[in-house]
Amino acid sequence: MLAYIKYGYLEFIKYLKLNLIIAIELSALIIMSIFTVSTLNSQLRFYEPLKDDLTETGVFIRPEMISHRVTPENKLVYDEDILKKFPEVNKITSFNQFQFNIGGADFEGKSYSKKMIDSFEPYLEDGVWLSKAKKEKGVLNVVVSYNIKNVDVGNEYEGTYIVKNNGKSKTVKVRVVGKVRNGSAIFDRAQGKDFTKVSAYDFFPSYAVYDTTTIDYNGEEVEFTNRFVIACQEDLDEIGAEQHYYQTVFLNFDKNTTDERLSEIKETLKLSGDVYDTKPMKENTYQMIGSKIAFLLPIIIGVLLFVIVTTICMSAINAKKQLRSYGIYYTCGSRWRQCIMISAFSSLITEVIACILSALVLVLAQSFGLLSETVIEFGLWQAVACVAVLVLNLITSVIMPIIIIGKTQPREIIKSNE
Amino acid sequence: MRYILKNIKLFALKNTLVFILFLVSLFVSVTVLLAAYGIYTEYHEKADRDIQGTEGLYDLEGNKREESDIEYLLFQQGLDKYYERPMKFEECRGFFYDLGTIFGDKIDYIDFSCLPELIDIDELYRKSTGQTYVPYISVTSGYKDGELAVPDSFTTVYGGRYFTNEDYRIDAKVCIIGFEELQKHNHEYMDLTEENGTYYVTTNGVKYEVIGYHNPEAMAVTVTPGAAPGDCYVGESFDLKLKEVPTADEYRKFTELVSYYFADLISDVTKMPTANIDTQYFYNTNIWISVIIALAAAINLAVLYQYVLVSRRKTLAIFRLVGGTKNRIRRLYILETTLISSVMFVISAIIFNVAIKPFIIKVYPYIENLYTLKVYAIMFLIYMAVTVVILNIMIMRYVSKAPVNLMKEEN
Repeated sequence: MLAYIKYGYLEFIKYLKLNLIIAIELSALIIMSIFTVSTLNSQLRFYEPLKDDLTETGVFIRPEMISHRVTPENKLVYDEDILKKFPEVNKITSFNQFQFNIGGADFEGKSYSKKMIDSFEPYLEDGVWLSKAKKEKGVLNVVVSYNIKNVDVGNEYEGTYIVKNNGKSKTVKVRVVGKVRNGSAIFDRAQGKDFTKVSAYDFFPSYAVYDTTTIDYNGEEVEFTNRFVIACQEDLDEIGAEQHYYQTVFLNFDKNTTDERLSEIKETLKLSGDVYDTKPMKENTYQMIGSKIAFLLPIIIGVLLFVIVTTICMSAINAKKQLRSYGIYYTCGSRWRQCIMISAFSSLITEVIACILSALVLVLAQSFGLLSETVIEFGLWQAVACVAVLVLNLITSVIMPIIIIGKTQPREIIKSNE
Repeated sequence: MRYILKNIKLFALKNTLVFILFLVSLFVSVTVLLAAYGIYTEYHEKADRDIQGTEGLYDLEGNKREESDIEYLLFQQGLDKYYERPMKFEECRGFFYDLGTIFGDKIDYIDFSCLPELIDIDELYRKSTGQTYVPYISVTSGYKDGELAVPDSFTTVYGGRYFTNEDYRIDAKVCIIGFEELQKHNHEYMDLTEENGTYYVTTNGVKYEVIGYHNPEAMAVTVTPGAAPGDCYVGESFDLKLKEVPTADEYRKFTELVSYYFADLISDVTKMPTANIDTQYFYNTNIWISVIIALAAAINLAVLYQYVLVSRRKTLAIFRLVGGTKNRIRRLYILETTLISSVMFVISAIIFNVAIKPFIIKVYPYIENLYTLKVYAIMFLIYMAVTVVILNIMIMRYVSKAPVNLMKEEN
């Protein structure tokens, strides 16, 4: 094995210039595959968070807007209102609203479940998303939108919220961990749509924030704003903050719930607001995913084709260049199989350099902000794509010498030095 | 030419695999170049036309959607507090210029409808038809290259001419009117007179020369923002039409501007559709992919051609020894690559047009009419220029070597 590494290294050094060029090209392919997988992920990122909610038997409710201090009978405001009435419900995903004041400025509070926070991250302008922020006891982590109240990332403020079932105000230490990029999609209620036609994508609208004040002709301050703050529902529950449904509740039922019982539940739920089956939503989402993938298909095919052609070209040139060396190795007692192993190890060294190079390029591009307005990220699937490119390169670097050597005699190979 | 063809023949026979790979690389590069241009255009067309910026021209059912203009009405039928606190045009003349700094060339037109006097706004709308019989001043403009300019739409006139960019620049006291209606209802607020065959409209003490005519039934007297009378009242409507969907930040700045000029004279800033940041980022990534593909394709071709040059080094050395000048050899090689690349471009473009384009159009509907002969010609020129420059550098490096060194070089 050490001999292969040694001769592989020597082969790499012998054709250093060519191998470095191949490494550059390979790193371009690696980066390209990361980008392509990222674009694919970006088109599917609105489906993942609601994947478990859009089931065959689930329902979506748009509860009527209820003042949080009044909870009339038959109205749905909190999870317990549902769980108390319908023990068959085994999962609730909702978009909640809460009143919040940070450092003297009112913000529209939007709260998501921990699962939603873990599975969906909006584009941030600064800081980190809630799932990545360090939690500290007694401190509420929040992410804010653009605002003119100087509520910024890294600072701690005094936050005021309304206590649940009490109506009184209470304060909590708030840490702003991130700031959402203006215009980024966030989990929100789907608006102005025919709800039989909505898909998961409609629950993630692009949110344009404005925040401005002016003095009117009476000398009074007038505010035009839709600034918001996002917090975790579980964190708000911990401090006992009031948060209520805001027209978006997904319910999942126990598998054993009979159709009759489901109909009964739906009828009861209708007293609280509009009720829709999630099955059509699921179908619409699949249709949307299909169109998104179809949209990406030419790009994916193009990239794939390009990766294959380029890898073959690189391996062919490399094999052709090293052919004479193989002839010598063969004359000195090596078998073709061993020569191919040497070629594979030489390619492996090129691949290692290509990986380092692509990581370096990505880190540099990131630090210069070149990737800030793209969907590029590095995760499991991107890593899989990189490995696929590397494996393809390794396979072709093994196959190519076999194809080129064919039935040629070593003597002919050594002699052919035109 | 004979030598070039012989060279190509030798290239194909002696390095068949490399020759095939060279052709395949050329084909893939041309195809990717054409497709990348299509995707890039798709994005811009989509951004221009699609109000939502997400689903394209087709809805979930696959039905073609109506194209929508990005038209924005800040207020209609009067400012909310028109009577409580009347606003004169002079107070918001700067709004036109400030809108230009926010939206720039995205502006199609800005239209402010003002009333010459503080009159009962309800009088404008007759109960049955909604037809207005009080002439109003329409202050209209577009925006180009950092200045107020002729708008892109609604510039049709029934007679005479529309404003010119010069009229906007010098704040010319000229106007366009709905002639018949204004003559029929010659109103106390506006005076239509004729002097030596030229018509003039006088309103708010300012005399405008009539240069064109609207629809005869229109009651508007259209003027440029710089020439509009400062003491007319902002009262009827404000209309802004954009050619492209604004970004979230542009919308934010717009609300700041509205707030600055109108404070609480309007109840709220109506929501304006903004460009979907996800779509924007998605296309930015695709543009990066195209750049990397172009880069990798260039390296690929360079590596392949370098191999060809290396394998020809002895021929090259002999050529030099028998009197071939560097320039002549360079020209021969350049012509050879140009010939191969040109033929491959034509073949690739034909295959793209016949086999690949119909498939791509299904996914990117906006590019349907994109690939004209002119586009192919421009692409060809760009492609050839880049190919020739890259290969020229490589060839020069090799040709410049001394024949002895070329002979001595190892594979």
